This record gives sequence, structure tokens and C-alpha cells, in this order.
Amino acid sequence: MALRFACVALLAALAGCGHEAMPTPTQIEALAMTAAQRGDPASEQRLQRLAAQGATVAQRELGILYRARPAARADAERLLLQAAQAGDAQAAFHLGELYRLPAAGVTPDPAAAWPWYQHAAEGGQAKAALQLGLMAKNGNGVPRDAAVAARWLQLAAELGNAHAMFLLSYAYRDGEGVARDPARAAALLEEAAEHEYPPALQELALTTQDPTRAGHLMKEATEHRRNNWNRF
Amino acid sequence: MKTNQVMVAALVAVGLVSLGGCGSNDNNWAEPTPQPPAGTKIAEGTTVTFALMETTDLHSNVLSYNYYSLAEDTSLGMERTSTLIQAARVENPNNVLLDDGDVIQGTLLGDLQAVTAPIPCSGTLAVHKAMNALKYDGGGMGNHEFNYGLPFLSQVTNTDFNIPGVTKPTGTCGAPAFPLVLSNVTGVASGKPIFQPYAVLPRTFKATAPDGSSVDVKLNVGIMSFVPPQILEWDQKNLAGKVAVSGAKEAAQQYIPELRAKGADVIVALSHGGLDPSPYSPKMENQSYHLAGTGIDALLVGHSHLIFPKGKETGAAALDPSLAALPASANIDAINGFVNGVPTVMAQSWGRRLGIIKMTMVYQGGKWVTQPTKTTVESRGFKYTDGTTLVKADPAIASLVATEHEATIAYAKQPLGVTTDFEMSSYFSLVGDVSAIQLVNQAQIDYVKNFIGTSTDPVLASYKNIPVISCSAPFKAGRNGPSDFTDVAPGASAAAPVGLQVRNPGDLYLYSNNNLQAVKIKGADLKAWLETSAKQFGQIDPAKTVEQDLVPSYGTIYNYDVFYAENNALTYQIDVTKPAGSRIVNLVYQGKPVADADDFIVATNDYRAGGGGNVPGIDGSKTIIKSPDANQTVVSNYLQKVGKASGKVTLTGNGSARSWSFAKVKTAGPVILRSAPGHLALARSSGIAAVAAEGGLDASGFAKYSIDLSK
Repeated sequence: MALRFACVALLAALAGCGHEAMPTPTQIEALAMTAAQRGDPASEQRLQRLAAQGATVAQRELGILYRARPAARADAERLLLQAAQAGDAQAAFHLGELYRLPAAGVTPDPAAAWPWYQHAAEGGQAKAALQLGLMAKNGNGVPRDAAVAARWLQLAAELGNAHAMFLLSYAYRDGEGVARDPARAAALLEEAAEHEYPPALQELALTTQDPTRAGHLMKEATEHRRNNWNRF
Repeated sequence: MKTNQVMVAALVAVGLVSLGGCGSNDNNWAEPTPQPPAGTKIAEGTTVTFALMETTDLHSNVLSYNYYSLAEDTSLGMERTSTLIQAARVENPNNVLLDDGDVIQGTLLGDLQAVTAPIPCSGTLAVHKAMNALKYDGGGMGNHEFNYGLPFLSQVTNTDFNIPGVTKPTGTCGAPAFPLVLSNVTGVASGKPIFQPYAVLPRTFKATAPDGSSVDVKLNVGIMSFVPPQILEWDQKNLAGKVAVSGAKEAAQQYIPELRAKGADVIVALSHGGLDPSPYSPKMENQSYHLAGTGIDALLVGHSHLIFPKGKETGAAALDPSLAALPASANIDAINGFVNGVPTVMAQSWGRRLGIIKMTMVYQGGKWVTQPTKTTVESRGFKYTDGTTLVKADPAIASLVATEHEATIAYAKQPLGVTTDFEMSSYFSLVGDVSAIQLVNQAQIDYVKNFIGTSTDPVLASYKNIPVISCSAPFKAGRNGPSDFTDVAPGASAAAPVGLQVRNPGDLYLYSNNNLQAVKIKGADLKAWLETSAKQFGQIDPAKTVEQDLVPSYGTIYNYDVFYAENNALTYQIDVTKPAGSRIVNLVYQGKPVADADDFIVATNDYRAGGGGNVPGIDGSKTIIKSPDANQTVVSNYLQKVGKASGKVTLTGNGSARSWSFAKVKTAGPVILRSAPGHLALARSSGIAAVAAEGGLDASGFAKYSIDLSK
């Protein structure tokens, strides 16, 4: 800590901090949490320095921080692009979000989002795979294709995304983009409920034959309503 | 400050006084804590065995009672956990009872004491009363502790958080009589932990000396607690800018050396997060796995409501698939209860299980050393004795909270402050009656229009000229037999209006789990949505002379969405003679046919908006509002608002705007609707012209009403 302040002081004098040891990715993420949660300018400046030095995680975390600030959209895009091009899957996901989601004065560009989501999904980002599934399912930015949608939903489900598990359970139930498979549909519904996806908890409660279980699922869904409202 | 000095003095004097006696959780945690016992000689090789007992995710389930169904539920509740605790204490005279958080929220009882009739400083929450009676030794926090806001949490834990704008009532408030700890949450302004980040519990345990004799030893149990960083998103309204959350691993690494320095012989993590072996990030939700290896001796985990390790009773449930799927490389032993060699337990939720880590330590080289091979872990349930017999309830718990329990049940029957001049029922919802649905739709539209109109989000605000419509379904319409229909204010009329009660919004909007959400869709999506709803009807062949069922099954009737716009500006017809998928005709909004490219915002619930019912295109991709408010609350608030303005809801204003009807057709044979018997008069008086007559009962007890589709 003392070293860091000394470093900041040196920075002012020398306009550089070449001797600052490169923190680990986990340390940079912790720094970003401090910057975001506390609105701590020193942490943000340190992230900026690390990003300028080419630390991919710092570029990503700063990009995420800037995404919440409409005026910093260009910086967010630049930083996320840098990190994503360096292979950071989380940054690629956030870049996809930046392109796909509507923002004031910006026309959403889902087609531009697609390749970044793809990078992210291939790098293990479950939410990116979900978005690819939804885009293909709805023909948003890409041609509508149920089979392509099911493949991405499958990947998202494998990566632990409960929303994708739930949609995929319907795909198997109704044979949309995949061959009908009621057993697989049932297993996916169970898994989605296990992961707390609220519609899955409700669907399972309303379709299970066991009244005690139905009651407990609804109780759980009700109890977790307060924290699940923006979780998925 | 004073309390702690007194407390420490007492500890020094007596040597073993429980911290539990002090009744205060002032967060002056930096004060000295007990030092390693001086002058006590423990012989090398002395062995001590003690039980670390865990409850987690109690969620305010004090009694074996389900407040949503207003019925006993013997599968849960602390009145039965108490029996498990007492038995475990007999088996393990050396013991410590700890809780892993998510205590204060979860039942109607919890909501009542926090929101409806907030408990005063002088009172103690029912769940805390029960915990105090059970003599807990310590507790951690869960994410749901923050649901009712920081001021309330500050009061009911009697803890000053040192957060600007969050003041604890002066004086000592009713609170847990045992130390509460939280290691990874700090105040933004103070930079200091809002609860004491750890506590040392000095305990005297019976141990066995190398010569086999029984000796008393002092063992300091150190406790820490961790919550997921996601609390800042889930409770952003309560927490943003006020508290900061660090990663569990970082917090553990920060405080474990302090805890050891203060004499902790064994360190127990109360970690309110599940087991996720993917690479550590301080941003991840379930961090418990990564606490193993930080120097923690035992892990008491929770949050995911699972049983870990697998139950030991006869007929125990199979290991949860999410645990069974963990890779072998993660080194998680879900049968014996170890994570990377650290004993770990998760006691499901709602008091249904008691976690018991029976820990053995040996005094070696001047300190206590854990003995994993002599340590056993159990997540013990209500049927642990033989796999079938439930443990009995401890009557002391019920008498302790009898007043609060009765107040919760009585609350449901209190007046809501509004009367109705019409009966709100679902008996004929499937032939056009909207008496139990229109109010829900009106409430949802009112909420969404206000949400958009007052939004500071520029994207949402830009939607203010898009029409807001709403849909809701007859949730309670025969799914569970002929008595399973909504019927609020039976017999209400203009001459004899009926006062609504607090519970009635829950009758109109059955599902207490739903949060209000809104989606932005096109006219084409609306048509597809209506077609999906219309699948609930059988295809009627007008030429058939045999009896035909209008609604062949009520199994998924919650997917029959009825749409509505203010002033009944949205209307449509359903042609049941057509195959499913091509039944919607004459879909009109404000006098004009709905075009495929028209924009609409639909107020609905999180089930539908998130993909429930598999409506084409409604899969979470079009959701523009995710409200933290329950649809039930939205309905209740709307009824109260109308009540304040006019005192009443009326058939004309709130129950007769029939947005849909059948495309008229004459059928050669009878068409029937199965519904509860004895309501033909209601159909007549409500003007549901299609209901022609009431026939006999079917085998399930439904009356077969004949429906005239030409009316």
C-alpha cells in the first residue's frame, strides 16, 4: 500500500511508473471492484496505468467500468476491443453487449455483436453463448435458424447458464432445432431449476407430480424473488 | 467500546464466558480478543473431539408452517431443527452451534416484521428469539440479510454500521445474543467492516490426555463469514455507494493471521456461497471452494440450499446433480464431506438439516492440529433416525413465537381499504369473463406506465409513446379439480358491496414468486403470443353432433394469457374451429387492425418474459423492465390506490371489459366447458351470454356447462 502511494508520488514527478510490479489478474479484478464499489479515483487511475501498460485484465475491467458511463462509451469500446483482441473472453462478451444493446443516440448493431459474442462463447463465457442462441432463435442480426440457436444454447447450458438450460428444455420438448427428446427436456428443466432460473422453478413446480415438491419449489421461488429479479 | 472492555474483563476473570451473554454486536471489533490461555499446560498428544453444528438459509422458517399455503409443513422449521440440535448436543457434549446466514427474510412472518409492521427497537425478531433460545454460539450473514435495507439490519442486529444516513435507534435493540460476524463487507465512507469481521469464541471442552484421563482444555474457536459480491446488484437500491464487498479469499487472507494472533486454535468459515471449483475470481458468486487452502480449518457453507455431504439416513436423496457433476480434479468428496481436505458441510435450508462436523484435533508441538482422518461430517435431516420417522417439534419454540405466528395469519384477513361491487371469479374465464383478470391487467399497466414515465434511463424514457398493454392468465381455474377456482367477494353487488382483504390480491394473482416484467414487442409477436394462448382450446368441428370439449385440459391454464389495454382499446376474437396457430382474428388496437411492425410494450411477469410457456420470441430477449416488485404487490398497491381515490372497484370500471370473444359459429352438437358446479346464475347475472345451461357432473366433479358459440 505504502509502496503504491510512493509510486503515485513518483508518477507525478516522473510521469511514469515503470517500476510498478504487474499485479495478478485477481489483484486487478479486486482493484476494479474497489474502483467501482467505492468510486475510488486512485484505484481507477491505477487501472488506467495498468491498461496503458497493456494489462489485458485492466483494459477489460476499465472497459466494464466505463460501460456504465454513457459519456465514456468510446473509451469503453476502445478498451474492450483491445482486451478482446488480446483474447480476453469476458471483454469480448462486454463488447458484444455494447454493440447489441440500445443506448441513447446509438443504433443497436447486433450483427457487429455476433463475432465478439462468438469469441467470448468459445472462450467459455456462458452469457455470450446464450446471446448467440437468442439471436439465432429470433433472427436478430443473423438469419433465424433454430438448429444454430440450439447449438449455442447447448454450449451456454454446458457452461452453466440456467436461462439457456430452460430454453433448451423447451427445444427438446417441442423438437425445435433438435430432435424431440422428452427425457432430455425434463433433465434440462431440473437443471435450470437447480440453478434458480425463476421461470424454471415455476415450470417445474407446475408440472411435477409431487405436491410437496411443487410447494417447496414455489416457496423457494418466492423466497428468492428478492434476489433473483435481476440475476439472469 | 465500553461493552467490549467489560466483556473482555469478564473473559479474563472467568476465562471461558461465552461472548453470547453480552447481547450487543457493536462493531468495535478491533479491541483485544482473548489471548491463548496462559499458564495452562496441555500435554502433548492430548486429543479433543467437538462438534461444529451448522444451520444455514433458515429464511425465517421458525415453525413447521407454510405461510403461503397457510398450512402446516412438517418437513421444515426450526421447531424441529431444535430437536436435531438437542440430540446432537447429547451426542457431542463439546459443541458449538453456528449459523451461516439468510436468517431474517423468506416467510410472510419475516415480511410482516420487517415491512408491514416493522418491529420496534425494543422487540426481537421471532427468528432471533428462537436462535437465542437455542443458544447459538455465533452467526454469519447471507445475501438476503440486506433485502430489507441497512437501517433495518442495523436495528435487528443492534449494530452500528458507521454508514452515513444509516442510523441505529439509540439504546440497545433486540438482537441475537451471540456474536455476528461478516468478513468481506465494509462501509464505503468508513472503509471499515460493518460487522466485526471475526470473533474468537473461547470454549472449555473435555479432552483426553495421552494417559487416557479426561481433562478440561480451553479451545478458541475463531469464526469468519462471507457473502457473495453480487449483493451489490441484487440489493443495489439498499447498498449502492454505501458498502463495498471484497472477495472471500482476499478477506480470509487479510484476517486469518489476526485471528491466529488472537489465539484462535481452530478457524471456521461461515461462507454464504456454494461450491464452484472454476478458477477463483473475487467477482464470482460461489466462492466457498476457494476458502479451502487459505488456512481455514472447517467450512460451513450455504446459499445453494443443497445437502452436502450426501445424507447418511436410510433412503437419503441422491447427491444433487450439480455436486455429482463436479470434476474429480476439484478434489471435492461429497460422500464424506471434504473440500480439498477441509471438512465442509451444507445443511440445505429452512432448518431442514443440521450440519455436524465432528472434528478431532491433537495437541502437537504446542498447538492444536486438525486430524482429517478422525473427522466426520454429516448433514442430518428430520428423518435421520430410521429414514422414515420425522423428529418431533420442540414445543418451546412454538410458544416462544406464538404471538408473532398468530399476527401473521391474522394479517391476511385485515381489510385492504377498498370494496368491490362485483364477484371476481375464474369459473368462466375461458369463455370471456374477465372479472378476475382485468384488475390485474389494469394494475400492471399502471405500474409499467409509471415506471417508464418516471425512468431516468434515456432508453426506457424514449419508449414513452409506445402503447402499454398487459396480459394475465386465470391462474386458478380448475388445475387442481373442481374446487380450484378464483372466487373473490362471492355475492358482491352494487347493492351489497364487499370489502376486500389483504389476502385477496393473492387470490387474484396466485403466484407469489412472480416479479413484474415488461417486454417490447412487434405486432407480429403479439399475434404469435395470442395464438399460443389460444392453443388452450380444443379444435371444434361445427359439423360434429357428439359432445366436444372447449378446453380439453386445465393442466397448463396458467398459459392462457388474456390481453387488455386501457379503455378496452385492444380487442380480438378466437376462432376455435381453426387449427391451433391460426385462430386469432380481428385483432384491433384503437380501432385499427394491428400491423406486424407496430410496437407494443406488454406488462407481464418474469415467468412469461423469461421464456415460460415457450411463446415464440418471448424468451428473455425482449425484456425491457425487470422490476424488483412482485406482481402480487403491484396488484395490492393498485387496489389500495383505487381504494384511496374512490373507495371501491366496480364491475363497470374493473371487471367487464371483455377484450376477447369467440368468432361466432353454430355447432351441430353440444360444446361444453367444465367448471365448478352451481354457477349458472353468476354467468347469467354477469352477462356471459355463451353459457347456455348447466349439465351434469363428470367423474372428477366438474359441471359440464353447455356453451353456445353462436352467442
